[in-house]
Amino acid sequence: MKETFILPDFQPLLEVSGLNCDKVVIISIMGKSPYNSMGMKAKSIGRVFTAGCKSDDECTIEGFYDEENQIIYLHLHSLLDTDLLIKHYSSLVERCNNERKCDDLLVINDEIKSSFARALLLLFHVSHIMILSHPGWTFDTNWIQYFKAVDTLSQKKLNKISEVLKNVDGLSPDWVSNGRFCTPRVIFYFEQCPKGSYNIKKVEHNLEDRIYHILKKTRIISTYGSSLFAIPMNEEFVYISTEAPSTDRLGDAVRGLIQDCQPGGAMQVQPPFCSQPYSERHFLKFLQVHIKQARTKGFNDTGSSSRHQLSQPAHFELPILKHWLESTKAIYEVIMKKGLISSLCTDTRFSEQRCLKVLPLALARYQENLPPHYAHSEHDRRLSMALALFNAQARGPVFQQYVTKLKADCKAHWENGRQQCEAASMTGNPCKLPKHQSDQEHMSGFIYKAVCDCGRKIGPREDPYNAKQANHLFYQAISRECICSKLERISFPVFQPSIKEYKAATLKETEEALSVLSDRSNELTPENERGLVRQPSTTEYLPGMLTLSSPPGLLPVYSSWSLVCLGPSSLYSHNLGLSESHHPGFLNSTNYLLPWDVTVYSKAKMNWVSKYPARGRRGRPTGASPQFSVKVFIGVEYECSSGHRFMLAAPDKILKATPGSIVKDTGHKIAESDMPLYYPCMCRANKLAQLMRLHVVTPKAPVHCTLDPKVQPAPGAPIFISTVERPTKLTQSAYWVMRLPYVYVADKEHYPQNLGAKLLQGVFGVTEIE
Amino acid sequence: ITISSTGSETQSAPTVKSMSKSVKFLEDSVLLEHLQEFVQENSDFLVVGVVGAQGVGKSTVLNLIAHNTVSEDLKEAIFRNCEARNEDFLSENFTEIKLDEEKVKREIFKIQTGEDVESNSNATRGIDAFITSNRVILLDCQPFMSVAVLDELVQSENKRSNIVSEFIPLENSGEIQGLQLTAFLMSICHVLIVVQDYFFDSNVVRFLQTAEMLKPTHSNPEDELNDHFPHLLMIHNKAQMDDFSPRKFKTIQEIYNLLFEKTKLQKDSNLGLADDNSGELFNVFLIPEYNPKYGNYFFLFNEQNVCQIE
Repeated sequence: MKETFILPDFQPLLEVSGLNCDKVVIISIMGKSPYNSMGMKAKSIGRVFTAGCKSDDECTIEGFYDEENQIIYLHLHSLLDTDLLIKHYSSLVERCNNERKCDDLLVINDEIKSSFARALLLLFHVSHIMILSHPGWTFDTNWIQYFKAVDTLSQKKLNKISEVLKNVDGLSPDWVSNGRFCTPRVIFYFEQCPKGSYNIKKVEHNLEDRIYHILKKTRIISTYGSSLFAIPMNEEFVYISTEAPSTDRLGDAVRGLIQDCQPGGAMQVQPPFCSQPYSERHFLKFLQVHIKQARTKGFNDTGSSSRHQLSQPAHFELPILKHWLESTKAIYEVIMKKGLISSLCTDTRFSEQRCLKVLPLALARYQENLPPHYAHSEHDRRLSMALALFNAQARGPVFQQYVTKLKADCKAHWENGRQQCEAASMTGNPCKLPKHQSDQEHMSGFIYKAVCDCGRKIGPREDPYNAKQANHLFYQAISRECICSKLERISFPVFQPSIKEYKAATLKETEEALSVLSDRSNELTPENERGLVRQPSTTEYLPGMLTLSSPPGLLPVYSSWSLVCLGPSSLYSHNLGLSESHHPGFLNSTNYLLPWDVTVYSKAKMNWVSKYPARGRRGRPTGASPQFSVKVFIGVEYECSSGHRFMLAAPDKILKATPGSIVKDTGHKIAESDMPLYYPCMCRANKLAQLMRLHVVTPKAPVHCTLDPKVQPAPGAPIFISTVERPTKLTQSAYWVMRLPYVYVADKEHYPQNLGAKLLQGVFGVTEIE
Repeated sequence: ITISSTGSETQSAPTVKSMSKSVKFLEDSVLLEHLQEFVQENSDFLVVGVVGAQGVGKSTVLNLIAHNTVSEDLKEAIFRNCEARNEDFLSENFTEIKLDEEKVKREIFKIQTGEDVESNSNATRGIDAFITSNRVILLDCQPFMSVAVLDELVQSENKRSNIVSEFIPLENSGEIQGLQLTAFLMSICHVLIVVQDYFFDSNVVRFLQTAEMLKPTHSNPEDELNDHFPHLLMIHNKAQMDDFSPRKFKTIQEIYNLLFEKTKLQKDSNLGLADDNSGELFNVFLIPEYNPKYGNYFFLFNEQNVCQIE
């Protein structure tokens, strides 16, 4: 027959005429091979097999029956052959990813090794002679590990193999009990010979000594009992091929061409003599010795040591082809299963154990000096410490899996009652309490200094967590310790419930909001009678603070603003400035109001106020309208969280009186510009003071001074107002102080500190009393 | 990694000693101080280590690299070298001229003598070191997966328990020692050269990644991990002409990129033969099967390139 067959499909062999009588010798070839050789090993005899693989399996055992000599050649084409590894690598990656969630080479190597070891085990059970082929000329100690693993595996499987062999007819009892018909011999074949003039025989013999020595020391072969395979005692078992490697076809062709082109090239005569004539060395010849021995007396390599008297020689028989076929088929079913051989997975097992060992250490590092509860940033910091430790000590392919586990464990530890609430306060500080129910109050632990409505009292302010606390409750509380509560004040309209179950209005961000805006713009016209029509709702209140875009008819439950009258205008002396007793906390020489001269046109029957700068032009007649001038003292007061207060003289300048209490600035700049809502306080770098109070000392004249504050806490943000009935009129000859909100919250959005925030111009106004 | 620190004591001698032969750097797990006298207060050394299986040509490759400056002396040496090789080659065919003793002596790193080959033992034991005149420290490591190394460990129980560990099974002690040395080189080298004589042994690739896994990390747990990973250069000695074809070379690079996907070693730092249009880059270098009959000297110049890139 010419055909080759692939285990376990013996179809072509069944037609062999000597199926029931041929006594066969089985020779198997295995090993590693370079990419170029397409998986061909031991070429001098392997030529019966074609290069390249025929099946799509990762491991193929191809067979060929030499009918004339009754020899079966088996050729293992495995993942140790470079061409097959390259072919299957991507599918291996995929498989490892699916089954083991990891595609590290070391994981894939487990598969490579395991699949090879199984095939090796099979060959150890169905061969007489095994040829281990090496691509180089040195023995690879890696084989020792394979032999060890296969040895263990073989002992484990022996019972199972014997069992299935019992079911095969015609096998001898020894064959069945041993699981195989002989202890095979292993021949070490080396594809290359070292360059130079060496005594190849000597190289071979030395290599034999070394291999034998190591195999014996590692107890892979023993002189007693049964071992996985045997080394012939008195025959050569190492063969170094001196044939030129024939894999470099291109190189051979080019070299031939060059040679032919040289003078007399084609005629070149090769040296007729060699130190090692090739004709005398041929692997087949070498192999023939072993085959012959198998045919005649069989192998008895294990008991040959004279010192050990063996009770019985190792079993050896030449199987009948049919028996071999059936037994091989049976053993194939037992052995060739998918699955890892754990004794070969050293790298991954190491990695696993190492990670398992380091994981608790890393977790302990995370838990070291752990506070009872802590914030996300602290969790991250601790986690990164734990990861650094894990990074430094854990190893290998399962590293990533355990990193994920470590992260999850740390997170679980944190979330198991150690989480800090971390809810941000109105000033952006996290709550320091452990995670709590929503009905419990937050606490960031920060306490600021803040000034009351009238400006007389400085008290501690807890970091507020809602607008009501910030803009209303705090001032209510501090007013009890101050005269604020007793002062005359103008209250802004707030929601008055008519029923008990009042609720927050639900606001829709749709066209309604737009129509509201246009509605408002109408309101800006002088004819403001429509305001009378609108009745504020008494069942629903405005959830946020009042802005120009708030829906009409809704009022907040409390006012975020306050407007109090400190008393008569005489309370303020422009020579002395604001007194420390009435207005504590002012920075040096900033405690002055600014004089603002306003010309009032008396006859014009308009509500509109015209303001002219009075500088140097006082009394200048403008048209027919009679006019007069009044002086109003105004001030925009800023307050920082440490309780520092100061006035601005211009949007970009702190008011500064020169020695002798001379204030050179006038109030025009602050009255006629947008004022910043936040201004750097001088007390500390990066600390912002917030515009908190507007001071107005009204003149004793038939005019109404008015206040109409509009605050835009961020560019594009809604404009906050104190009341819908604007502007607010103040009484004559009095000292009025308007306190602005501490925080700005519209509907649901909170506007934190923003340097673009401003108080829009047109706050201060003066109208004639009609 | 500053090897230079070891040499800072030598202040008296400003004259730079040049080396003509490698010295032992590490033997039986003991670091030797033979290098000290050659290392002045210079600091910018390039450290190149080489590993590989037995007989693949590690020392030969380093010898080629060591000769990268052309002085008259070296020209002569290289020339003689070639002549000696010529004789080798001829001797294969004509006579039984023994390996030129002179030549072996001239080599900076010990290469296998005929005797070594015949007794199947390795020429380099432990790690040999040589410093070139342009401050390249070359480290030549004993082979891994070598039967000779394992045999030696098997024979001397003492050595095994000292170098490796008493508790490691015999069959693994050779591998463990190889891993130790390779991981050590990975920690101290800028460039790690891996020599193979065919394409390719999956076990070599696996071995390197195991060594990388075992490489010690230098970090105190408080700090960020400051880990060093050398450039990896795969050299294929005895490459065949087919390997040089663009198609084949591209395949080689692609495979290595796949196999080394997870490594942190610097594998594509332009040290290889590849130029930009040959696919995914990988540091692979091919050295053709040496055959003086056809005058294959070009690789010498390529070796120079490697050093220049560095």
